[in-house]
Amino acid sequence: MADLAKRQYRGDGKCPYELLPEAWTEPEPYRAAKSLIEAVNVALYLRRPLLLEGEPGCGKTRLAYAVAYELGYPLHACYIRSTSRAQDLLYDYDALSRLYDIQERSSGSTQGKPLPTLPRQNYLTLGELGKAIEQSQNDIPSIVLIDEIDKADIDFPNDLLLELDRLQFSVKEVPGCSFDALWGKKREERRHFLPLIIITSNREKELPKPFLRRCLFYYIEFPDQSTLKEIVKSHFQAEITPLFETAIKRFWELRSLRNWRKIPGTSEFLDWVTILERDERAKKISDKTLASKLITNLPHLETLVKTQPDRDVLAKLRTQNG
Amino acid sequence: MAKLDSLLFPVFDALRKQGVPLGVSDYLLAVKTIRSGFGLEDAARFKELCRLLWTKSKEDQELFDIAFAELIEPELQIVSTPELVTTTPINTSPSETPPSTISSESTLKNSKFQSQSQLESKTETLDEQVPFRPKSSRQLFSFKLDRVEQPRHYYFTMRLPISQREMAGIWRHLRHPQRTGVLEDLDVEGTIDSICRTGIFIRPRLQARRRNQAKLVVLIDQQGSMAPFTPLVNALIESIERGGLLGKVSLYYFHDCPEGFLYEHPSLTSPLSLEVVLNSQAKNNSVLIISDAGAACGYYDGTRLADTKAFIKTLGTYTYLYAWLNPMPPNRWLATTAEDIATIVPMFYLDKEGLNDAVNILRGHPFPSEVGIYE
Repeated sequence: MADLAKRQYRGDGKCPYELLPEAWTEPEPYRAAKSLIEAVNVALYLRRPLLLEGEPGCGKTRLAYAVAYELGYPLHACYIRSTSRAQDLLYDYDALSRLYDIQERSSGSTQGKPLPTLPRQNYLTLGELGKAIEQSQNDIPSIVLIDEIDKADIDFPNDLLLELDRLQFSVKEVPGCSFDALWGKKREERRHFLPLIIITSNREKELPKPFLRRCLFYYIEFPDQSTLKEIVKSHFQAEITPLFETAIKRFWELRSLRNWRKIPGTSEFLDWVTILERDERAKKISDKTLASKLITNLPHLETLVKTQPDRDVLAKLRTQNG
Repeated sequence: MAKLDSLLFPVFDALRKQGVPLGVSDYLLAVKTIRSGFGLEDAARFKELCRLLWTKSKEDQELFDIAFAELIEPELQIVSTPELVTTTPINTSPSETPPSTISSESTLKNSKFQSQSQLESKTETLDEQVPFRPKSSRQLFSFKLDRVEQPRHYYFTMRLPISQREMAGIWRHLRHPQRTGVLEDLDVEGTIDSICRTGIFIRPRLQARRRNQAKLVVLIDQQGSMAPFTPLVNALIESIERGGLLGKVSLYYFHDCPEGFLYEHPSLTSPLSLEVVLNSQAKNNSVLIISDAGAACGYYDGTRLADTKAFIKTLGTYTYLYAWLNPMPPNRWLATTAEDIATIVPMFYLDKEGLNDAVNILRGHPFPSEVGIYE
């Protein structure tokens, strides 16, 4: 692939490049702000991890999918749990199966001679980051998504520092088995083959300083009305109907109604519009009825208002307005 | 290069001084990236790029915006509109260098910078960005006559003696990892041991993963003399909750001295008996007390001292892991109740060193010499 150095994220939802092996091929309707596109391209050029923060549901995670699709890169998604350890991202060694196999083979043979044991590599499974490093060792760059890193234990980001920096690791259970994306060269020389790591965080925990230092930081702001329109357009692959128009207006009103405990985000909005569209097709609702309804009586508020205190306030407003 | 340096360094320096985690490599990275052609399309892009490389949180971004507006924007502005140069002395840029030197130097500097980078900043775009820039040269002239009406900008950002990020970093030291939860990891040694004992392999031994089991009880003095410290105390509490103690934190409130009751709410409502709380929460756990210990009032109160002594005695029967954080600096403890309380409890000023020492005590380090209830 000669054009690896030239690949850039343009944010138009199209992939003009030749697909890499195992590339992510599902199109992702995603509208990125200009500054975000620029940020992705800087991260791509420097191959530094890009740390994304923002309100829940503003499209932090989806960006990784969109970038992978447009660049024609493979995508490795790591969804972090509270018990995740840094090593889980790299590899898993199934010592237990090996133990069982050895027992079985030494006792199960009929001739009294133990069967030869299987090579240790058979018990090795690479994690998502591990796979990305292996691929990049073979000159295939990829996108790695580390989703909700703040969910993990506080040691997690610190334990990843070396791997993020050097993009190499060795499997201690299998002697001589190691992976190195840099080939022992300088980062600049291998730049175009390295994985681009996209990390999302909801800021439930403060990330450690050394980790932050290695990342580029971008805060995804909630889109404004016109961007929201673009998002609806690209998501539904359709022109803006009067219903969409009204929905955007009403949603905006709702967002600025009060200081929400959980302010409805883009993903909730898209859910809501999906249901509204279904209702419109079933002739249950039209843009006029939607526009005439009180803000507290909008249909399908359950898709937008998610916490009890928020619902209580809406109920109160409803009784006040009769 | 030198021109770029003189433009970028002040901002970088300002951010570093405010505790944004940046190092030399981050500075070089910015220079390298700019030289390879990023962020040179217009002023906004240039700003976006520096922001992307040098800020690590939303709060950092605010600090950056201020520093950028103060230190770089006035210079960019001169580049794009040379006719302004003659009138810069009355420009109210908050930059600390004398304005006259900026104008002569930076025109030179920036004309080079411009040719280097093809910086095409348009007057319109800058107009939106720089709120304090006068609209036209005619207006400028009138400003000259009437200086009083020049717009002034004040930035109110909270500056605490210790940043929240630093606090969270220190709280990470408070840990007590124990194996709890589901058995999921293979205990290699245990399994080998069991094979050795029985001679055959029956089943593998599993063990749970290590999790931080450190538990912290925080007792917070509220209202009265503690009222001015509310932002600091809130920042501290937030850092404890997000510092990674994994939810095992309980907060209680009191006024002046915990006696008889503790309150669940900062407004000192829903009281709980002190004994019940200590019984259920404090046993062998770390207890942190946050109070000015009378230092903010500035006088000596014998009753308060006696009450505090009694409380510490009770607390001592549940745990020996307790420390006191005082938001007043130590020189103000002198000749107040705080000075005496500091001899019976390890008391620290709420700054970086003090918090570090307090966390060490909570982890089980010995008290400083001559501090203790029986000393």
